[in-house]
Amino acid sequence: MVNELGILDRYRRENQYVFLNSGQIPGIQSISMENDFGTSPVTFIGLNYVNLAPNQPQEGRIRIERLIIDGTDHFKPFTGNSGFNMYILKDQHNPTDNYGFTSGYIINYSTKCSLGQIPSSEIGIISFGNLGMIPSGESADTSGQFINIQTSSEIRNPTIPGPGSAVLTLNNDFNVNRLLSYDINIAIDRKGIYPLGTRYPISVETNYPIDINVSFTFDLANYSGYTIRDFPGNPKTGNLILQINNFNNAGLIQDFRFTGVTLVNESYATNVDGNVIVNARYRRLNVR
Amino acid sequence: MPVTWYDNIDVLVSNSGILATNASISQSNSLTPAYAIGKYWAVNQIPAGPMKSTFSFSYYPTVTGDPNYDILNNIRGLTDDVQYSGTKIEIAGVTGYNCFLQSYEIQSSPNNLVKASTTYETYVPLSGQITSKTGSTDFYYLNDRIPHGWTTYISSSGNRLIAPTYDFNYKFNANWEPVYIIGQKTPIEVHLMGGVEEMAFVRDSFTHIQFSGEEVTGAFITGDWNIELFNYRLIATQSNSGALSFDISGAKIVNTKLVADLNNFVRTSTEVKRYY
Repeated sequence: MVNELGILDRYRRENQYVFLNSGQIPGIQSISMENDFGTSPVTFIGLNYVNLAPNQPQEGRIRIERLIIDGTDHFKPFTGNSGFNMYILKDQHNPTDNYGFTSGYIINYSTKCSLGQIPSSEIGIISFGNLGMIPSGESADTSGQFINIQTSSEIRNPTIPGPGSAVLTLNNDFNVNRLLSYDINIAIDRKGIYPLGTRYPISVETNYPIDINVSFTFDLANYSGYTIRDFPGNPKTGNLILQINNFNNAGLIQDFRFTGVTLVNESYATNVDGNVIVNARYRRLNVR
Repeated sequence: MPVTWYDNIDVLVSNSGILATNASISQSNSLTPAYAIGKYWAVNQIPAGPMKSTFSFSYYPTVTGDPNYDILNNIRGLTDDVQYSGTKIEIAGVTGYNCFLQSYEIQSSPNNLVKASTTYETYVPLSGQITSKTGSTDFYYLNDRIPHGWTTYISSSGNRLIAPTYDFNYKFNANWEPVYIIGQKTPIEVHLMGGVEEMAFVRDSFTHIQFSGEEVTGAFITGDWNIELFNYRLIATQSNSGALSFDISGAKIVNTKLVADLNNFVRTSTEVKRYY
């Protein structure tokens, strides 16, 4: 499209509004949506013409990076078995001009923070519905969401956490050692159930267990490392609590609680240039 | 000497091209050792059965113009085999005459193109040598007519079945018997002694077998059964360009199996059979 100056228009971050169903999400840093049309060349003996035909499920892959800058974890309600739609709009009042997806399910959720960074999250999504320019009349859901989006209000007072306002509790380790970074990763395997006679799944199932991995890097001060033979006889386990607070007034923004995490990997590194660093990874497998 | 590449050969059944992904010819010759008293080792190897050539194909079927499907229907409709003399098959210039359909199998799975395989047997000598294609089979239209899991429908009295089916497999096997006479190396006749159709459905509900010989109609579904495999372009054009159709009426349940395994939902496979 040509703009008022007679040159080709372009989209930039200031005119890209991100809506999850009908609510705007603040703090998005990047979104990538990959539309694999599921084509496969039909090759055969004696070929003199090759057609591209559908030969796999048509599923979209989406990746979102976001800074945690408000008190609502917009994606948390969708870590279970609920799907959602998402739209990127140029103009909030014209939602039909969108790029988005429908029937999205979270397949990966990670949140991390290192010294000097704002805590961030990264969400991997699989779409079993449509991906691209979503028409308003695609479903009753999209029609209703397009109406609500136009009156949705933006969050104007973000709450900003910082590395100094994240509180992590696990076996007293971080009261006596200096935590440098953490990374929580939740992998959720989703399977679309496809019958014959349609290209849409009739249901989307979670393939349990949900795999939760929590990694920490810390400067060693007083830490009793485990030996490789401690597992399985005497494994190191604990309950993990991560609270991400507003750096201004320490008000809680987001918290994660995992009981019964088990140490599965530990590394100890020392060199001439810095402190002794320990990296520990804990794991928990959640069932239904 | 240059070799002959796969895209430069013909695969023809009844002079019609098929979208074969694999084609093979296997010739066998039954021999038995001849032992004689006074000799430790066999003195010779002698014929112990007829010469037989088997043509095998894996291919993408098409909703129209599939010679294998037409031959299958022709055989299923036979009331007498006296006039039936098989068909001609050519792979890369090697030709078999009087080839009889031994087996036909078709498989429809969700999100995938339908695949099929067939075997033919002939009891007469083959002819020809590996050569490049001579004809000008135009696959442009065939290539567009492949049925798909998206457009495989199980229907009863014209109404599509709502209960989901996750996989469909159809097999036909024919029992041909060549008749020989003394003084002739090739059979004078080949008789169709019988045939059997087997169909398997994967679903998410368990069908209990109540008694031996239970008919699929009534136990599995009320009313008639028909499985239709349409071209995948049906979803875009809504125009019906033909279908491969399999009638299940009269078949009887022979096997039902429940499968639970890791990382999947509990499925049942029900096999039904019909003899000709």
